[in-house]
Amino acid sequence: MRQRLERRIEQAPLGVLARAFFDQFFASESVTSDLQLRQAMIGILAFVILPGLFLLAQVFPAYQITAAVAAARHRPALIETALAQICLILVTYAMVAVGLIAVFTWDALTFSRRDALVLGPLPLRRSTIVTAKLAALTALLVGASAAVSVITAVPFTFTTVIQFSIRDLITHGLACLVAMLASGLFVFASLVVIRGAVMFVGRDRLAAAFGSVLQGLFVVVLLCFMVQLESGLRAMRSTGFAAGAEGLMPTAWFLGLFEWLLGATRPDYAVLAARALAAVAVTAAAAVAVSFASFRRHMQLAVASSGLSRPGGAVRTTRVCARLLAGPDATARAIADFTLLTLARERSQQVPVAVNTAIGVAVVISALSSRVHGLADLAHPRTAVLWIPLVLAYWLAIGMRAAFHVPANLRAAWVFRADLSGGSRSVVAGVRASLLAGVGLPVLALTVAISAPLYGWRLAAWHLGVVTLLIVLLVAVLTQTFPHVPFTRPYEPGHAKLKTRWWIYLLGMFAFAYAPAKVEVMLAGDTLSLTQLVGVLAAAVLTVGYVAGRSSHRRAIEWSEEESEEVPEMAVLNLSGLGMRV
Amino acid sequence: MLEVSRLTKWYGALIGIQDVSFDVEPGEVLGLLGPNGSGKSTTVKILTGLLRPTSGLVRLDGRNIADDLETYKAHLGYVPEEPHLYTHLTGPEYLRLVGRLRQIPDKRLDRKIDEFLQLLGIYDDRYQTLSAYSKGMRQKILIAAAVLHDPRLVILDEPFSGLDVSAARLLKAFVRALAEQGKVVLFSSHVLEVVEQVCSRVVILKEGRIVGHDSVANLRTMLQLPSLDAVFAALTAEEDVAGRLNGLLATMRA
Repeated sequence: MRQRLERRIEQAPLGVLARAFFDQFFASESVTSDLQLRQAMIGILAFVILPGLFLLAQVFPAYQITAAVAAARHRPALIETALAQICLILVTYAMVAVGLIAVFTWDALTFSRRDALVLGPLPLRRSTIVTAKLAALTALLVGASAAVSVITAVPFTFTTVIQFSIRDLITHGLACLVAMLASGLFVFASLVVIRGAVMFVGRDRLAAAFGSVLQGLFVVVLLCFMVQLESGLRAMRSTGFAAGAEGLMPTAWFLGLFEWLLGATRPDYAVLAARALAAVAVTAAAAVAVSFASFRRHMQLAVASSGLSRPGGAVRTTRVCARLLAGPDATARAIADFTLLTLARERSQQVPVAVNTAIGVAVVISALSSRVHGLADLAHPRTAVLWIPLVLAYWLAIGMRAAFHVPANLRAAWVFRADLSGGSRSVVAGVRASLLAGVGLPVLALTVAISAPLYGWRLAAWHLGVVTLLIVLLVAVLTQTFPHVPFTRPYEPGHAKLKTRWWIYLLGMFAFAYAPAKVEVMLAGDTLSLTQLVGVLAAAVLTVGYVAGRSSHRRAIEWSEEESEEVPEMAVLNLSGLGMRV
Repeated sequence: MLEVSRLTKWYGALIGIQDVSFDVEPGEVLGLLGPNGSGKSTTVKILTGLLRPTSGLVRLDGRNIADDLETYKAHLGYVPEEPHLYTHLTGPEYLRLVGRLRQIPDKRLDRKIDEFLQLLGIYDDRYQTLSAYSKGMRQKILIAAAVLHDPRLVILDEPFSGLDVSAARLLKAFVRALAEQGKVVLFSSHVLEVVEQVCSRVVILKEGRIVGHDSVANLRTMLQLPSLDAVFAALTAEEDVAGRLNGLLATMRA
């Protein structure tokens, strides 16, 4: 009895730590209470489960038709093929969805320097700390995989079972569930390993930059997966995966696992299933090893001097450009510089930019894949090509504006209240310069890179002019809706009102990107009409600029009330159960 | 001259400060003392324009600062109590941000930043972000940021926090030199020895009200006490320290 009690007392820090590490996955400066934490968790789950439901609605009716045809023609092979296709889609979905959850909790996938600093001095065994971290990771993985897999595997089982028997139900259900869970575990563990490896190579700075890229990438893949599902299904004529080139794809391994569990006798399925199981075992073991190693590494780094290394994310060219655009106003230059440096170095601010840009990339890819079927289609100007820089500029600007609402080290914002001179006009000029430089530079470079080789320098120059003017116009409008210094106000949950205003964002994209690109296509080759178009856009830019200038004169800078400066403690590494609060 | 007249601040039903009045002449260092919760921070925040008073006035050279807060802030240098900085910026990047916000031309600003960093002994750390700085190094950045624009009024809230002995000695001399150059200096601190060495007059706050306002020497003579520490204890009516100490030890052992 006493031994059991002692063991429970000894295990208590493990539970508290595991809970603290689990909270870290969803914690940020914008999440300051348990309620918001739960909302964040539910929001992320809803975001990844929704495509699963959408997927079911698309896939299963098609399967029913195939099953009916197979029954009528006495060709059971049709059903096997369809079943394999559905399983491949579900496995891919599980990998992308679990991967998306993992990259959104990227910073917390391995230990951080703060963990080492806080936990190092506490009387805790290293094994306890690492076990707690692994427990938290497992809880996240189980939660994410279960949410993604169960919601699709159960309908899959009931829809695809041929002869309704308990044995078939269990076999189908288990095969699908195991294949999806294993594929999710493989992706999750791989990302933990990548996170740890990147941290070892380039410390936290490189790991942070890598995280934003992966976040964008997974959003693009998930959106493209949803949009391209139907055409993908049509294109998928054969699933005869062999252990050759196609057998190198992880999705094929888990399809093999599914078929093998169903009792398929083809030898290549057994090979693929063995690969799947080996991959899961290797990556899981590597993830455990990386967790141990990363804690050890951070313990070393925490006590070592950080040396004279320069911080990453200097964005020098963009900052120089922003300073030039801000003009002689030193305050505007300061705000533009601060904004771009913060975006380049702070992960919380990079997330909205990465996600929104990913939406733009997904839109572009979808349009290209449905409208352009070969190089011959690119010979003449097309809306699906000309609108690429505009779509990306639109979503990048929307992402940057969303990032401005995410606070960065809110308590440090006193410096703007105490030292800012120049008033709201300077603030607006600074925000505008940072948006113009941040959006303009990459997008204009992309415009030239796309349109010059395809359509020649003359048309590229016209297109560049149109894109430039449209970006200036968009930035002028967006700046008017942002009357304060970026990152200096507490986050207002749901300020974007995506649930009710999503159509405004789509309408905006249509007006900003599709319509001008369509007009450009119609006017291509007609110099006079193109000149008129540029003239109209220039007039619009001047008008909006004039109106914006007048309103920024009248407007006062919005500061949060001093009383609200007392920001609640972040829900990061809340070790209250261990008798301390960080 | 800085004149503070009948300053009162209510936080809802709670009183922050009440009827706080004092003035500071150019060339003078006024110490602001008081136990935790006495209203020092509220007073300092009102004087820096970060907080609006419920009633009362603050005047600089006879002008109400509320009439033109921006111009007032242009003359003000402020070292806050807590070193809240943008830790993703390097030291020079932070100082450049502050200098530009204060409209200092870039060339002059860069020269000043380099010199400040060298004089404060943090030049070698100029490529590190502030997240890697020690508390003392961050404090030095805050001090440099406060005087970067050569302000007429300097408000220092616990400026010695985290500084090593030699840096603290340098800062003490710097504060006195600022006053000698005709600047108005307000110095808020818990370290009574430093206040005694640096300040020409002190204001002692307790529960939002002024309980003592005079030169250190006068206060000592008036209360017939040997040190500022004793004066402070008498005026703020500190609770039985020995009793509380015993309680702390007992709780720790329990």
